[in-house]
Amino acid sequence: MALVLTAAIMYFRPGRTTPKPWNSNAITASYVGAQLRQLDSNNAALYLAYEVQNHTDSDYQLADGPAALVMSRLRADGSLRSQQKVRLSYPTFLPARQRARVALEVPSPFGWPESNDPAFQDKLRDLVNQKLLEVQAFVLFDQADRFQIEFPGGWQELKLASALPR
Amino acid sequence: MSSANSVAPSLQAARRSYARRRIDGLAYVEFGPDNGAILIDLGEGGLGFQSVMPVSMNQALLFRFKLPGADKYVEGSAEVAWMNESGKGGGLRFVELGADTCGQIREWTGVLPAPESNLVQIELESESKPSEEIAAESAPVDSSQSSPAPEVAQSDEEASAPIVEPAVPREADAPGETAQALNVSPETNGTPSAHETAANQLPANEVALPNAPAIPEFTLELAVTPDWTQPPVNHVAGASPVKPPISVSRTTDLKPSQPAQPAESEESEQSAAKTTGSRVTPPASPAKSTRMAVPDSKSSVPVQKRQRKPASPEPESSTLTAYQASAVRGSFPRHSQNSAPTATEWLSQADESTAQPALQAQALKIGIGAAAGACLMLALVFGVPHLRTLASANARSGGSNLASPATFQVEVADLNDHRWILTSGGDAGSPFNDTPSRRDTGARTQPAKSSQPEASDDSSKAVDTPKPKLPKPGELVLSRPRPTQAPMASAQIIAPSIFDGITPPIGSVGDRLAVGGPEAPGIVPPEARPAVATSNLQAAVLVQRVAPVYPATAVTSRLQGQVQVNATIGKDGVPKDLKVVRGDQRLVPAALAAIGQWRYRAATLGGQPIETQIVVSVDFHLQ
Repeated sequence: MALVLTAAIMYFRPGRTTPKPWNSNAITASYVGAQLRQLDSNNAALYLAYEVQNHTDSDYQLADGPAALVMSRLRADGSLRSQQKVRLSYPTFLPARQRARVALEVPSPFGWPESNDPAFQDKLRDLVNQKLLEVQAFVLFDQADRFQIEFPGGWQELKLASALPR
Repeated sequence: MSSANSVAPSLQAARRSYARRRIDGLAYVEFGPDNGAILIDLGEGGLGFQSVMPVSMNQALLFRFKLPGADKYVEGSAEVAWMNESGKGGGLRFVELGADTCGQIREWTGVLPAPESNLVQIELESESKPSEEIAAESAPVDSSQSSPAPEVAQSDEEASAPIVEPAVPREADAPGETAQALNVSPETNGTPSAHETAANQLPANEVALPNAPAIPEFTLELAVTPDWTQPPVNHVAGASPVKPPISVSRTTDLKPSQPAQPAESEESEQSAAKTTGSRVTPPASPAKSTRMAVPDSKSSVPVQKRQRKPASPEPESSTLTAYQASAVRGSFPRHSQNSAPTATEWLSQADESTAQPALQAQALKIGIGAAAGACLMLALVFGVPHLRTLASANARSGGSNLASPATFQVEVADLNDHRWILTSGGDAGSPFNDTPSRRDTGARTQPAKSSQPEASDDSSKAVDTPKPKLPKPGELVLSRPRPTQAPMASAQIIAPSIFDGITPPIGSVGDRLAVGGPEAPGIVPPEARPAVATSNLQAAVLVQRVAPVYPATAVTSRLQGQVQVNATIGKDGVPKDLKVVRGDQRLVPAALAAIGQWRYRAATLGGQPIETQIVVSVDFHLQ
């Protein structure tokens, strides 16, 4: 009887079902660069390179998978959206207290323009603007470890800097 | 009854404003129910006593006594102004007296308040003369003094007042009886003398300080350096040959209504100092402090051995030190508002005036330091993130072939591994030419001769006639690399790419396509990758991809999964000999149909196309 009561108490104890809060400080990322790559004549991908830092004392496996969801944080209001497909380019092993480089891949169907296309650069520019200008940052939610990794949009500051007269 | 036949000691006399009359008979004064004393002498300002029980300095006492031959009690309150070592002898300073009592005393003494200078001269110049003679001589002496500054700036009334020297017996010189015989209790009821003024400005227990040259700590703490070269003090009485340049303006404090001249102050100081048995020696410089000499015990002046007994040793010591410090500085506290500042006062004021700016400067420094610290903190708070951003940008620029960290740049790479820099807002007018930056990611150490030179040429031709739009602020503009970079040999690695190792090699089969549901199933990298980079091997590169059609049955059954196919890429780049490695049979036909339409750039070995086998994976995911 006592065992049953104890088990019941443990099962229904307050906070048992309270989800663990997202830890946004365990893994941090800083923007490194961007690359637009032609995959084939009809597809392209935008790669965003980041440097991630493991601030914990535990090793961490940063991999794309069902438990890892990458969302976009909109610049307009900071809300998240998952409409845009974003994933990690490669799995990354991140040892404790170490840094590593990863890349986020933003694939997109894109008819790569012919090189003699007069609007060649405009099409590329529009593609990049379409993918990035609305995005403030990308956020990876590791639902297994409850890690929230913020991938800041380095293009924000650079865009502002580019607006200055040169 | 009483006789005024004494010679007042200079120290006490100089401090008196009222004459004292010695009581020859025996008069008993009651100090309350517990104590009593023998009345020694009496004046309007106070009395001298020899008590039964010890008293303490500044002790308030209620007294009552009968004058000899009188029936009426004289009552009032007083405080102990000084006392001897035993604490049983000393002087009282009247604090409160009734009007008739005061008149009674005045009547008994029969004198009016006398200037202290007269008393001093009487004492110094004619010790043994009767008091009447002394009084008779004292007035001419004072009036005959040609000094512009009288010894004590007494009022005219006081100066011209007849003086009857209080009776102080000669035997008062004896050390044991000095205290009683030389009753010099300060009297504050009248116009104060110079020393009284100075003493009144000191703590109460410091009143008799000038009369206590034998106090050891006084001489020690002042570092007294007796100046034996100075004439004896009894030479001074208004005609002192010593004129120290220092100016201690005690005299000026006596008469607030009469602004004192510095010379007067000096003379008054000298006079006061000499009458008190100490000698004021001129300092080496005006800025230096006053030195007070120990009186010569062999002086003709009857030196008083009386020592003040403090209420407690420590307060006296401390107050003495304070007094000495103030005396050395020459900055006695002043109550006179009209007195002109003397040299020492100016000095002290100068010290204050120099100390105040120093404090202000220090406060200013502290303020500046605090402001600088605040600015530094603000800079750290707001500047560090920006610096980190810049550092990050610099780091990334150093690790890649991106042109500048100040602008948003996107590296563009096509399947032929032609690369450009897509820059935000810059180089809008840069035309493309036939020298695009080229980088072979598959075989970096090989000559980066493009396997499709025609494509390169086409691209070059295309960019020869660009029609660039003017960039909008913040928009991305595609620009070519600088001509300085263009002539680089294609075989050379322009710069290590930041994407090396974190993205699939450009143009390799590892390049994946998006998986977007039934309409756009993607290709995932094969598990067994072909060697994409050897010294002379160029891997096959997917150049045309056709999306597989998601089977309807799979869609209805929500079937998802991956199909892996082993394919041989012929020299013409066409996949053939497709063999399913694994995958759901319902998805395999769609995967094979799609892969059969793909086209590759054939792998090359030594520049020659060869057939290669690869494993292609096709993912089917439902959105």
